[in-house]
Amino acid sequence: MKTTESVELEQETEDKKSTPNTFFILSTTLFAIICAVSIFLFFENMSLNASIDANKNEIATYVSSINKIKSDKKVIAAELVTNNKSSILASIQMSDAQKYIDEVLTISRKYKLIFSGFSYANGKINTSAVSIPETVLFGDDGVKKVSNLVRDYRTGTGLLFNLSPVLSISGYEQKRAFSLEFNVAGVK
Amino acid sequence: MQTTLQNKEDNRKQVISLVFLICSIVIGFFFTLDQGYGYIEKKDTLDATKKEVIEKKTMLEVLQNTTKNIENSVELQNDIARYGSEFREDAIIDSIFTPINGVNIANISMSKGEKTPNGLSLANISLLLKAQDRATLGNYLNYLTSSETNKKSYIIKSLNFPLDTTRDTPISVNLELSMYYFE
Repeated sequence: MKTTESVELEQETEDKKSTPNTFFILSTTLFAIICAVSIFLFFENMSLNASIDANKNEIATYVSSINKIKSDKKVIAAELVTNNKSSILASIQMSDAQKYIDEVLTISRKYKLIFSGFSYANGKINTSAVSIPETVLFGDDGVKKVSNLVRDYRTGTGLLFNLSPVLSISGYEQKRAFSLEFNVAGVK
Repeated sequence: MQTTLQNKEDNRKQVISLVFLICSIVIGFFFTLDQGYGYIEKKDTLDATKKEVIEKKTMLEVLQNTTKNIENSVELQNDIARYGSEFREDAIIDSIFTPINGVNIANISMSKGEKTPNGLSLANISLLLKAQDRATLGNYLNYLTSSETNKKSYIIKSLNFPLDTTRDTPISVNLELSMYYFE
């Protein structure tokens, strides 16, 4: 029958034995893991280097082919024209002065105004107008036509032009003169 | 006796353990860590190069397609001639001095312009012409901007003429045009 003292002594001896063993196992395991990880990373890095070099070579080949094609001016011009065709067409369409002349003539006929001079630049059209009343009767003032024109532009929608403010009218009731400035709708 | 031998064995194990530990620390600090950082860096580089390969490949394919299109598409050839050809005075003169009845061009001056943000350049062309009536002027303006028979298309920058809505007489017109070209 073992006494309590002897059991404790045995336990102490066992502990003393197991401490170096545990330390040994831990350190060897750690060493093995470090070595394994290092070897894995070393070979993985080598493989990555090879892949990077292969990609760089591929890029160099592509760049060389691209430069070769780009040396032909026509290809660059074709790219630019294709990419910008819609905006180029829009700018040409926006400068369609013939349409604006026709519109000014239509306005002249519609309101029975006499226009003289036509100037178009940067989406603005300037002209001078004279308004003569339909009759020479008292009270029939040419300014009525001016008023009709301005009212239609202030209240109308979907018109080709926006009318700038008409702030001065000169002359007398049988002949009213004023300047008109139209802005092509959609041009800032 | 047993205890002495056991102690020696334990000491030996402890020394070996210590050596392993020190080796682990040294290798880990000077080699593994370096390889680890290198691995992360190389992974990033590889991703970047992969992306670049795809970009360049796509760009090359686009250019190859463009080259094919230039050869095969008459529309693209016309568009290049219209908006992306080089600045050639002879081509501009041939295009502007077209025989349209009732239009006489008196003066022409042209200059190369600045490069626009879209990569093409805009040339400036000024004209002084005489048109026999408004309809003729209209025909000529249409010819300049949108005619299929004209190899160029111009933007009308400004236009001035003495319009008189009471009569349709011959008119002198000042015309400023822009023209896209590639330089």
